[in-house]
Amino acid sequence: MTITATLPHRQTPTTIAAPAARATAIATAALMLALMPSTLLALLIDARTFNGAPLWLKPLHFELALALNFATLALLLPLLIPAWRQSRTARWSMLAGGFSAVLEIVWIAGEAALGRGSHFNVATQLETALYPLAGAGSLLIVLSSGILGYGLWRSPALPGSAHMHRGATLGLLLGSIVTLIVAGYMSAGHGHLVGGPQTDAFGLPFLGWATRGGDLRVPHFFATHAMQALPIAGLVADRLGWLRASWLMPAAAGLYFAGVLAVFAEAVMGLPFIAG
Amino acid sequence: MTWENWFSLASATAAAGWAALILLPRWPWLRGVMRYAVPGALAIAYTVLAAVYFVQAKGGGFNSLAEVKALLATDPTLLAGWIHYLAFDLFMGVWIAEQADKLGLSRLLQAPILVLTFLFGPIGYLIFIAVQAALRATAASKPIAVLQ
Repeated sequence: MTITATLPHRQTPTTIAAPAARATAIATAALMLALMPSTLLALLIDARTFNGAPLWLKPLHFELALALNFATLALLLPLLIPAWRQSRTARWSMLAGGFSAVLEIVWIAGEAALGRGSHFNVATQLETALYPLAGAGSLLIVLSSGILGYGLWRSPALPGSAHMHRGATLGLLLGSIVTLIVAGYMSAGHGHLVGGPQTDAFGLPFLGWATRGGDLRVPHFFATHAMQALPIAGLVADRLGWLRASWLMPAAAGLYFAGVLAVFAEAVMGLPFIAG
Repeated sequence: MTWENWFSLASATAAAGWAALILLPRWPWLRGVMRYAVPGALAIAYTVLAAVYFVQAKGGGFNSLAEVKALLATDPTLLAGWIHYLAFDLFMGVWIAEQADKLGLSRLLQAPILVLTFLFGPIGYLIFIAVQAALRATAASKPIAVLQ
C-alpha cells in the first residue's frame, strides 16, 4: 500500500527574504531607545571614568545617535517609490546596517561595563580583533543611509515637499560620504584628540568635546547629523512656501558642508570647537 | 539612598505587584502593568546594577560556587541578584495567573499557588503545572477515568 499525501500549498518563497526595510529600521531605533533609560541611570550612579570621561557617556551618545539615525531612515523610507523601497538592496542593506548597529552597541556598552575603551582599544588580542570588525560594521550602517539617499534621489518628491525631499537626499548622500571621510581620517590616527592634553577630562558637558585641543568627533557629529539637519531645514522651507527656489536646498547643503569642512580643519589643526 | 533603601524599594514594588495579582480583579490595564511595567522597571534596575557593578566584584564569575559567592559578595551585586529573583518570580506569577484564568481555575485556588510562587518561586511553579495537568486530564476524559 502506498501512502499518498497532498502537500499544503506553500507561499514561502524558496529564497531567503530580508524583512521590510522599514520594519528593520523601526526595530533598531526601538532597541536603541529601550537601552537609553538603563544607560542614563548607569551614567548617574557609576563614578568610574575612561581617560577622564564618565564611562557611560559614550554608550549613551551612540544609542541616541543610532536611534535618531534609524528613526530618520524609518521616516524617510515611505518616500521611496515601491520598486526601491521593496528592493532586495534596500531590505538587505537595512538589515546589515541594523544588525551592525546592535553589535556596535553591545561592543561599546560591554567595554564600558568592563571599564575599558572600545574604539582604538588594542590592549588585548580579542580587542585588537574586535576594533576593525566594528569599523566594518559602522561602514555598513553608513552605507544603509547612503543607499536610502540614492533611492530618494531616484524617487519623485510628494507634492508640497520638494525642499524636504531634496534636503533628505542631499543630507543622506553627502552625510554618508563626508562621514566616511571624517571617520576614516580619525580611524587612521590614534584617537579623537588632536594636540592639547590627551585626556577627555576637559570635555564639554554632556557632548564631551575637547575644550583644550582639537577633537575629530566634532566634524563626525556634524557630518553624520546632516541626515537630520538638512531634511528638517527642507521641511521648514516647504512650510514657509518657498516653492519656486529649487536652488535653496543645494545652497543650504553647500553652506552646511562648508561648515563641516571648517570644523574638520579646526580639529585637524588641534583647535577646540569651543575653548574652555 | 543607601543600598538598603533600594532593596526596600525594589521589594515593596514587587510585593505590591504580587498583592495586586492575588487580590485585585484582572482588569486589562492592570494586566499590562503586571506583565510589562513592574517587571520592566525591575529589569532596568537589574541591568544598571549588573552593567556597573558585576565586573567590580573581585573574583566574581559564573564558573564555580566560589565565583558566584564572590560575585554576590558586595551590596550592589547582591541587590542585583535579589532583583533578578523579584522580576522573574513576578513574571512567572503573571504567567501562572494567565494560564489559570484560561483553565477557569477559581481565584480562591489560584491564591495559594501564587503565594507559594511569591515565597518559593519554583515550588509554586511545580504545583501549578501539576494542577494544570490534572485539570487537562479530567477535561479530556470522562470523569470516571479519574476514579479508576
